[in-house]
Amino acid sequence: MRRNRKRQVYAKVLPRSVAGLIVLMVTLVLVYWVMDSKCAQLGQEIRKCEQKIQMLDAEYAREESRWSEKNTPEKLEEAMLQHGIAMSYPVADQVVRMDASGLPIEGQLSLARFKRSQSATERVVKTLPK
Amino acid sequence: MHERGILIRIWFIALLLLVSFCGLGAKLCYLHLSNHSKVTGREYKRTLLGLRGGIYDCNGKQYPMAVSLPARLFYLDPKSVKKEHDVGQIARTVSQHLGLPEAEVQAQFRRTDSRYIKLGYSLDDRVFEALSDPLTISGVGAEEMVIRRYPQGRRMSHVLGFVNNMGVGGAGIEQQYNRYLTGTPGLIEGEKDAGRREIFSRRKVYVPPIAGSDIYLTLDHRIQFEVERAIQEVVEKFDALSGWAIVQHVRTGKILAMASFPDFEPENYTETTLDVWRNNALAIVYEPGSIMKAVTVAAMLNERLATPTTEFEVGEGVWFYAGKPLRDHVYGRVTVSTALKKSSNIACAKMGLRLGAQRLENYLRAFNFGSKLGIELPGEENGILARAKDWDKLKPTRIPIGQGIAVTGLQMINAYSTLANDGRMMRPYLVDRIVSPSGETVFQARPEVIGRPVRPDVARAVREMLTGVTEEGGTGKRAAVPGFSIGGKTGTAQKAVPGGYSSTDYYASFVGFVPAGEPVFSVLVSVERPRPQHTGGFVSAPVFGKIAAATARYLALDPDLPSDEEDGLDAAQP
Repeated sequence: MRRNRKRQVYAKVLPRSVAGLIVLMVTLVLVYWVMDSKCAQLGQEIRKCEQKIQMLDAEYAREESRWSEKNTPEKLEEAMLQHGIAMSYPVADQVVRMDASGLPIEGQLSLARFKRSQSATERVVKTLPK
Repeated sequence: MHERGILIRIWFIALLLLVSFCGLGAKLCYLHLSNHSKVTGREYKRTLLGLRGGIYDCNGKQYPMAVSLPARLFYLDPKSVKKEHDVGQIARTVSQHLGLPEAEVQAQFRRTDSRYIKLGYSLDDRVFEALSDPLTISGVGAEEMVIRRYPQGRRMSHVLGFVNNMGVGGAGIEQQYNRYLTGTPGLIEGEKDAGRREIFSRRKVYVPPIAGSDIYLTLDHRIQFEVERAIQEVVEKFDALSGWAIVQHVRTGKILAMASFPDFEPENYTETTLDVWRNNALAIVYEPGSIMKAVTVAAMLNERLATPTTEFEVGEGVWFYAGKPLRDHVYGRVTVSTALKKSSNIACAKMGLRLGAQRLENYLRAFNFGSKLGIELPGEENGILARAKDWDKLKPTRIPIGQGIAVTGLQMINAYSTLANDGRMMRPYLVDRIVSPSGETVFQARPEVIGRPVRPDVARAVREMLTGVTEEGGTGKRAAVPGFSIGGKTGTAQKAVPGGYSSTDYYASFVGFVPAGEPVFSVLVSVERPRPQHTGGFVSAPVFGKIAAATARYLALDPDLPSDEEDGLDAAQP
């Protein structure tokens, strides 16, 4: 069929302002929906992180407690005995005191060496037979 | 016309869309702005636990003595078990993870009278996961709780105390410092989704929980261990009723160890009786016996009524005064120094007469007998010391030898620490500092001088005399510590009973300080009703020696005497 080139349609579909308003509202709603979803997702992640921190804090406290239970003087003595080690605290001239910088306090090492040189014997730690 | 039709259709659709989106928008506004959660039942509220503060020894956080741990309490609701789940399987799983007998758990499932039956608690998250499996488990719920753990078991039980099932301190430091230790719970309020999970973006209220403050003690768990072991051994060896010991740093007044036996497990405090909870070191009041003589001699010297070489006539070993005999195992004339070394009753009684009742009372009160020292533990006793005006004629002869006066172990060791500290009496304390959860030091203890009952030269003279107790001829030879000079005194006191004194029950004590020349720490050991041996020199002095040796070694004190001890080291053959 031949096209009527002179036919002009003057129909107004929608005023530009109304169309614009609809498009704006739809856009706003869509943007809001996207942002809300993202917020909810972030909220979930924050909540999971909070729970994880709580869980890790609790686990840390429990581990500390478990370690302390293993670290009692009785358990240490038991462990030493099991491995045939007889140990006690050192005598004073075997102790070297350190200052805050990590260096031995002056005079101690030379005193300890002097005392050992006085006794002039080698000393070995006694180990209990297994 | 055709175009008009199109226009109408377009307008209609546009209007439809407009109304739809306006409706959606209105609903969104309503959902966001109105308080609809109560109507729809989506309120979410959760309390966050505020953990109780920890208690640590003097070495800090590496040795916790009491900690709070989050746990879960599991309970049973028999009515909410789903039909498709096997009750036997659930019971098996519960009993396996909570360590309960399976038959007992099965029986709980058959109960119809309750929808909240406590099963037990667990610290392990894996147990929670296993008992929350929706595919196989129903009828089992869990709620968060906090439990109090004492990792070192019975260590320092009388000092730490315990916490009751309401989370409130019931004895010891737990009770005394409950206010500092108690945490503040937090709160979350908001809304939950259909899956009962919190909608974070709808959170209205968030109050973070605040943990309680931490308390750091002056006690050292390693010294405490040695003391507790020694006291337990002596009580068991001599079938005694109880025993107690204190180690104190003389220059500051810090308590390094305080032990009482029998002891208890703070986590299971309900399994022992009230008398076991009692801290005998400060709650038992007893006549000290001869250990009081050092105080009498100090008073004499301070008043310049005698010197260490002043002599007193003891006679044949029995002396009558106010119609009552006083017996002694020392004879003839003795100096003040010898009277202390050999523990002469008659010499010290005569010193008391020379001092006079009022002066004697003044000195005893100056040494803090008859009143509390204010240590940070509940249950400290005053002791018993009557006013001089109420004393009968005999008392000035008996109190100097430790009869007719009742003291606590803490008062006694503090008196000896005063002599060891050149006459300066320090306040005994065992809380070093309190630290808030934010790291701020809320309280820091400082050594405090609370009195100067005697002059420094008098204190030094008495210390020198007390070194004779562990020498040949002294009553406390068994207290000797290899490599260290010690000063101390034995005491054997009959137990007071209605109408007089027991002829079979005694308190055996030894109190002293190490090293004698420049004392660093003092130790008191007392044993109630040891048998068959009952003297301080036989029962308590060796315990003192054991505790003092371990403490001196641990503190790395320089020996002030030559020692032949090899200390576990062998001299290898050259």
